[in-house]
Amino acid sequence: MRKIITDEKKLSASSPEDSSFSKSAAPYVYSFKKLSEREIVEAIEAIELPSNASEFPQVQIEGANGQHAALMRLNRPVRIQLEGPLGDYAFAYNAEADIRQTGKVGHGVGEGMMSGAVRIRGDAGCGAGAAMSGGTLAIYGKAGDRCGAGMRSGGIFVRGDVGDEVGVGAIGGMIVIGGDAGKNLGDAMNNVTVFIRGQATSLADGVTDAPLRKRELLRLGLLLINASIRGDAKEFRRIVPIAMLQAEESQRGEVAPNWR
Amino acid sequence: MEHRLAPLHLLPPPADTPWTGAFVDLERGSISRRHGESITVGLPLFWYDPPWYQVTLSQADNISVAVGELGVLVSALRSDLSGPGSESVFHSGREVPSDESDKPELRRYSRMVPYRPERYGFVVKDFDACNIIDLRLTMPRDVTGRFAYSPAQIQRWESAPSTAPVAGGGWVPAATFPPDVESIDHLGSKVRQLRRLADSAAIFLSIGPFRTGAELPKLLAAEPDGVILRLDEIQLDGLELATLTHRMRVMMDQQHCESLPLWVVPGAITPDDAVKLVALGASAIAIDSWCNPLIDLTRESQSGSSRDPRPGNVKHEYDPRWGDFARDNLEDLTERFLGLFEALHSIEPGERLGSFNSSWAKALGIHGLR
Repeated sequence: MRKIITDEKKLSASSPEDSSFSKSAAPYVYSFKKLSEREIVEAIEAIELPSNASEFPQVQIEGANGQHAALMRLNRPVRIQLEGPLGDYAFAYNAEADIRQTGKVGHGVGEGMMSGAVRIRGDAGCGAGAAMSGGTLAIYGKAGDRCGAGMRSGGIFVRGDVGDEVGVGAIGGMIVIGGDAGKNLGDAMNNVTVFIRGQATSLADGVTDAPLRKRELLRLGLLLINASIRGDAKEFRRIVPIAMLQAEESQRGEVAPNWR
Repeated sequence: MEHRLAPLHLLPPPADTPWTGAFVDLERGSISRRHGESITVGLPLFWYDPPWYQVTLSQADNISVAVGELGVLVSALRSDLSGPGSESVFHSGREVPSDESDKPELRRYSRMVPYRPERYGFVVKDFDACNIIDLRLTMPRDVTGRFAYSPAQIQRWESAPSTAPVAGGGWVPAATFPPDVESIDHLGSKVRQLRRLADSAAIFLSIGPFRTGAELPKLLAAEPDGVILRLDEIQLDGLELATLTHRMRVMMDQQHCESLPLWVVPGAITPDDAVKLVALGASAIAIDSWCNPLIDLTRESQSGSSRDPRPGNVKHEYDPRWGDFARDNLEDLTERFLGLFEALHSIEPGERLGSFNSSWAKALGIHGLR
């Protein structure tokens, strides 16, 4: 017996954009028009998990219409599909969930997320992935200023352009930018790797761009395939702290020198 | 400790006041929220910015519990007090004998969560069962004066291995403003988000005293449950401290926020001066200058070998001797504060303060005594 609060039905004609989202295996449907945001989160948290850990229960959420603070703090290995825009702080502090959304999002999408994946087929506002500590945030559109600010681990992929101050204060993780970046890319960046395909208006003090090394080419190539980001890994450059690059070039390996 | 507000005097009732029963303010630690029920804290006193990283995790945990036992609200992240795989006594509470049942009861401690713009060290469980979320809009300085966090502070928060410290073991710049808030005009969205994430808590915004004329209306438009005024990072004389507190209260009242709590972080303060700040409009007072010596004394008493080698996953146990240590150092101060605080509330608000110094009286709009 599945534990559903309400509004459960089989998916019918409408097919999610992503082919990996199987409509035949998507029995959970909730709507913002019928349930509050909190009720939807509670319903998802109550979904019975299959004994086979590799199978994610599939959930479709309807009625997304710019709601703020939607679907925060989910901690359930489910695959969620949403159609429509969301407002600020969507999917903040999530873990485990694999979310695919079609529509733009506001500021702070994926703030503090810890694991799982969020894929946005639309543009994102400022602070996407701020302070995230794990998981993957993929934005198949543009992202605003301060994307990845203060991130501590995990990965952010942006297919299009990003705004100013990307990666400001980040102390871990990886940011991949398929388009161009604004001003001060990589400010205060520490153990973070930034890959960029286009141009940055300016780099922050203390960082520089450098070609990819072989192992990074391989790693990035795989990541691009998985994230469906256009381009070849060879087209990307990496943005690194100058001190880190100097350490690499002096054959000291990838140590973490004090670069202040 | 210097009485910075010595020219101000807490007035007794006028001589012809009829004798009535003693006043006891049972609501002294109650904070009403815009949404949800009021929350209760022990005393209108809080420990705002403890340098937890200066002592071991176990010591920090014990000190926080010991101060919490005295009814003082304490600010701490989980990562301040415990390693990634363990739980602090302060955050989980501890079992104590019950007066009403044979079973022990779980005692929890009033807790403030510093929600810094960078969120270093912050984990999602910090939202759980906290009393105050302090959305900090002030930039901290490290001991060198930089807007930055020290290597030791970052090391404590992030539990980075000593072989690969964050920023290579250097300082890490502090943020100016939450990176996921577009502008101060959009702060309300962040406040509402925090309210959803921490439904047990009141959401406070903390600011400095520098541009309050421009910033305060925008902060209040975000509809927080309270405002924290940080006056501890600059050198203020007594009159400046009193004037800034009084002015902030007046500005909040003018913005139709008469019932919104104003908490003040004054720097070094005596119990008498703390109560005078209450009389000037503060709702609660930070007592870091009383509590930080607990950390200083602990640090000075430990040898290098007694430090935690690494943030561990060892379960902490509360040792009641830490309670004696805290009481010995704080109880006289908190008792003096509480006595004056209760006496204050037996007097009409406009009659509580006076000064023989005409410039103080004029600046603060209080009774000029002759």
